[in-house]
Amino acid sequence: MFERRDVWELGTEEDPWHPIIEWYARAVTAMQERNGMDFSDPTCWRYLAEVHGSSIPRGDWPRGATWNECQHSSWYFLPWHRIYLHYFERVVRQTVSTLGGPDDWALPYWNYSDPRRPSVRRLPAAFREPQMPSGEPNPLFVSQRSQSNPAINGGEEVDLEDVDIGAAMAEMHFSEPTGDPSFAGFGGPVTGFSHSGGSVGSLENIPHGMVHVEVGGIQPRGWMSSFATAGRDPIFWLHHANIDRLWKVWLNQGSRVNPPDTRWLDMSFTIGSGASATTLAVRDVLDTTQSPLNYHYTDESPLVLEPAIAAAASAAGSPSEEERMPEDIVPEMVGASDEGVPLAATSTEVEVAVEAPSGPAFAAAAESAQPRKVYLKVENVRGEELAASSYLVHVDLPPGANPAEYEDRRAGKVSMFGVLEASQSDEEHSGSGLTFSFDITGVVERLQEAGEWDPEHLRVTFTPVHASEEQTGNVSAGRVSLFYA
Amino acid sequence: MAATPQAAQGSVSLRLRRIVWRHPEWWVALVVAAAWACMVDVSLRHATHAHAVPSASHGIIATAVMVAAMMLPLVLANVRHVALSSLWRRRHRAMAAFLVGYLCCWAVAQTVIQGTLGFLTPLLGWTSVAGLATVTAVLWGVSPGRKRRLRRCGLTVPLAPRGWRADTDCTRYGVITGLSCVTTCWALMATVAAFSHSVLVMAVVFGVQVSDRYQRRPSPIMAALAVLGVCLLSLAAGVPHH
Repeated sequence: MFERRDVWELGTEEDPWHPIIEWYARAVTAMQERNGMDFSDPTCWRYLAEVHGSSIPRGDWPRGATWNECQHSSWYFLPWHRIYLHYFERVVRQTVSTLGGPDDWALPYWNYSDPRRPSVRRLPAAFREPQMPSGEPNPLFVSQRSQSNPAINGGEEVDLEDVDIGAAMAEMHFSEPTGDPSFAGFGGPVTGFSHSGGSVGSLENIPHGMVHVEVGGIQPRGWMSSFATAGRDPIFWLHHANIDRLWKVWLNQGSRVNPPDTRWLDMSFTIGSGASATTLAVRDVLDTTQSPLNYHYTDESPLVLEPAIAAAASAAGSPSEEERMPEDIVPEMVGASDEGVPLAATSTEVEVAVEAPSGPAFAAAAESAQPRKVYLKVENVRGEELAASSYLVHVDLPPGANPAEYEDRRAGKVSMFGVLEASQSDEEHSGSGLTFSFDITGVVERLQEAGEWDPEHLRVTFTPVHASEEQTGNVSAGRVSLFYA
Repeated sequence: MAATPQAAQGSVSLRLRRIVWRHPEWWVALVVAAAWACMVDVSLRHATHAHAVPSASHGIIATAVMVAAMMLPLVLANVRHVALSSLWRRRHRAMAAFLVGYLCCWAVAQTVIQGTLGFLTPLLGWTSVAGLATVTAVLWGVSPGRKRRLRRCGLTVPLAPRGWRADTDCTRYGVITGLSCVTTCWALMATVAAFSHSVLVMAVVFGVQVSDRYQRRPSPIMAALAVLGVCLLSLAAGVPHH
């Protein structure tokens, strides 16, 4: 059994070069030396990065290459990346062994979400050093990272909010049981093979997407900020090991289960090509302690949610098996904005006229006096240039109010990771952009209790995070809509 | 304790209501099923009355039924998206507006296809025209630009929630989707028309289209071989112009 350990438990700011990290660096160098001219070796660094995303024309790919296959905005997001990491880890372990290192090397994870240890929100120190202790260039250091706000290679911390896993952990469903693929849940919506575009799952949005753009930066866009280059940054793999760990943490909270759907369980993915090709079905990788994976994380303990979040999760969630029935929730749109709204370098807002429900939500209201759930959807987020790395979304902020003073009205946060790719119309994308759905039942209840909920009118405010006035962008949300279920 | 007939009836009714709620596009699926039943029925009748000459009105109806049978299944997800993204009271109207825009594109495309076939057939003969359509479909199927157009068929766009803007947005979305589908599938549909809506050719082409739309990595070569195979078979058998 291999153990994936917390990178910040291995190395410190003063002494970052634990043997596991040092062997990783040496293996990265060896794998980069295999790149060659066309990256055709399935164990070379660039081949593995291109599997995630590739801007190399398909005609120039090596024979049999399975590139540009990362699954996003999909219920395959988590299992596909687990298989991808498994392949990568085996290659690195084999390389480490060949170089004379330990045979049981395992990929560390970067747990940036521990609020008790603010320093872990810094990029691990070994990834910021331009040189190894031996004086050789450090392959874990790449200059294509966020230059400022935060200056990642300078040791600045990622925002606490950007790595807050509370909202993802509070999700009760892996995929929302609405039957509507525009609602996501914890792990992503029910889709077919999906490279990108569509609705983003809670974990994929935060912390996954946020850490990508915080580490990569947006102007200029570093490697981590783009599907096609993210895998080139050695921190990518530790980031995704943490996302993989959080899947286990979510399950360990109880009352949460993986989808039993055979469309999900039987979906298989192939990484690599030729003799090294590995094909695994989703059902093969659900228990990481069993063959072929054989690993566990040092810390898989369930998150202790903040009392308010736990209460909201309990109220919004459905702990009983009966209530988890997929047929249970049919969302009904009760309002949408007439226009889109720019996601700019300054705050923007949009008005939504709301009607009384007349379908399933009306029937549900007859039983329980009010809708069981309220969702806010931010649809078709598209653009070619980013003005900020993310946006806070608030509901019914008073005019001119400071959003920071109205945490109780926050619907969620929208990460810009993947927006540019999903906006392109090419062989992998329709150009629809990304859609985000937020369960705002708790927000609406609080507004109702305060007597400030207007059932006929909603105002939604988008506040940029990490934007400066000089930054220009052209991203916009095509529509904001409200659903009762 | 055994369930009473009333309780069982209530349960079935509840289940049916949920299906209809979750799949407001159900009536479009029924139209598709009816179109396929109609095509099969016409084909069987044609087999037993081989020398019947179809009238112009029959040709228009046959074309409309063919489009309904072959193209509407490929946009059921779009139709459902329109319904689920609309106010409850407007969902069927929104789907109808989408279909108007979508089918208008195909009406224009089919007029051009039928006109071209009508012009070429007397000049070159049916066999040559059918062969030409087959080769065109095969070449278009393996062309690099087709995949991008195929992806565009799954595009979603923001829809205004109410008023005339909602209707025009849904219709415009239907036109956008229709244009993507026409530019993706025109050659295949021309081939089906060239073979006088032979159910055998229709079925194979439909299978290729479904595979293209929903398969993870559809093989253009396999699709081309399937189309080539069924068309050569039909040409050899003189189907349906025997």
